[in-house]
Amino acid sequence: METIPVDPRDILYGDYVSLQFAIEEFDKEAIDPSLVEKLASKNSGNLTVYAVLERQDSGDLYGLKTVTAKKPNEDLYLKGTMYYYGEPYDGDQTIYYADFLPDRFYVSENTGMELEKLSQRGQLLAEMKVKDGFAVLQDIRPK
Amino acid sequence: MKRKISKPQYTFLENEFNFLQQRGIMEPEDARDILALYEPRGSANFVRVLLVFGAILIGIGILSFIAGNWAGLTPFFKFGLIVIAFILFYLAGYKLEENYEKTARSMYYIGAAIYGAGIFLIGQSFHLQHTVYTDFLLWAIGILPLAYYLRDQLVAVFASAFLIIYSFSAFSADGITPYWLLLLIPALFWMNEKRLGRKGSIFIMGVLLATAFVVNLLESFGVDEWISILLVFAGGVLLALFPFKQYKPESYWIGSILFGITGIMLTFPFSWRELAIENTAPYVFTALFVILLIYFLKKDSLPAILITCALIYRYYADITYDFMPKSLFFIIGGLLLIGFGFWFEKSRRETVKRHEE
Repeated sequence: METIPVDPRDILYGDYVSLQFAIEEFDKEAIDPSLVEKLASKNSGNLTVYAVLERQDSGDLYGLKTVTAKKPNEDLYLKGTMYYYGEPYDGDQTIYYADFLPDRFYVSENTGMELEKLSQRGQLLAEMKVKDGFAVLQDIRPK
Repeated sequence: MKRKISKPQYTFLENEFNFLQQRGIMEPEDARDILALYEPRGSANFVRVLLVFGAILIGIGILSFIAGNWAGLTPFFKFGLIVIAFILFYLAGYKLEENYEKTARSMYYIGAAIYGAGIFLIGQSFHLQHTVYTDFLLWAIGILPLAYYLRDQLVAVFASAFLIIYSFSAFSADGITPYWLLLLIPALFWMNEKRLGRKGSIFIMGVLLATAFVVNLLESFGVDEWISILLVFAGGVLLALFPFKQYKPESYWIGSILFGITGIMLTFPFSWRELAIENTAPYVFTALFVILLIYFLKKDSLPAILITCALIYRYYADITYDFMPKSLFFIIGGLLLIGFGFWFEKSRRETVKRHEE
């Protein structure tokens, strides 16, 4: 059966485009070894983590350098939360998730569809302002 | 002190006295004197309802204008509009207070809605996430002083409803404990006692808010579900058994509703799933619950009748739905409901009769 794209809406804030950021999904190599131990030690609950960012070769684009449990000294980092995973059952294949960034971009009523389609295909870039680990979404645009 | 009766009753008296005068049974002076003993109640209620509804509609309109996120105006400009409109409506309310009290209230209500819209506008403009609980907290804090100033029941009810929404932040993604309520719940009760004239509605909202707070607090401490439900149940029973003197019917009803709903929840095994004795606990509880209900029924409690009906129905549906033909299930279910209705009406009539004697 065919499905159609949905236009998500918040009753108070209005229409939005849902976003999922590449830096919020990562594998074990990206995580600081001490954090890996911490994650394995407990089975539930939230953990505050920090993502250190680095500029990627193409200029304006930033990507993930590493995820740590300690507040980094670098200027450019994001504060977020991660769930305890326990021991990953399928070894190193486990993908880890963390929540660092706002995942809703509010748009005018009935205008989100185009952006939503691009978002589903991973064709969107987001412009952010970051200070002290806190990010504010400025704008989104097609790649 | 004039005796207050409803408007239709007053009209009826007036018509009958006219009729009696025409028949020459009653003297016109007598009719006037007797009628002067009565006063039609709330003759301007209709006006108030119109004005309140108007204000609520405009409020919803403004909120949905913000949710529409119309691109024609920049967020900054919209914010300016909101601030100006907010000030203007409050000023209009203030100016009209003396001569047009009810219209003035409407102006204040619209102002309070605009204030909330401003909060949501800021969240939307900066693409803030998961802030809905904080938004409602701020909205409630912002309109509580208005309720205090105007001695207004409706604003206070809305503020407590917003605080109930805020209390659920414990269940949100970030799991924030709603500690502000430690301050705001006493403030609400205090305001009702000292300023709002001991309104039953505010008392009920306060009890609901306190219940929501306790449940959410336990949730954020990671306490098992059955403990929270059992606590609310116990609180409800206590409130129904020992009602507050000034709020007797309110305590009685809200206590009964709380223990009725949580009691029926606790008869289901899933409420006890975190407990080792999951298999026996619901049955032990149901037995105790039934004894408690019998005690309340002996005291002629109307809510207890409702709870008993709901409990019987819950077991009826549980046991029979699986193996009875559908048509029989519905017919017997309907008969049960009609029987309950009859029981309820009969007891209510008897209680009223006893009061009249």
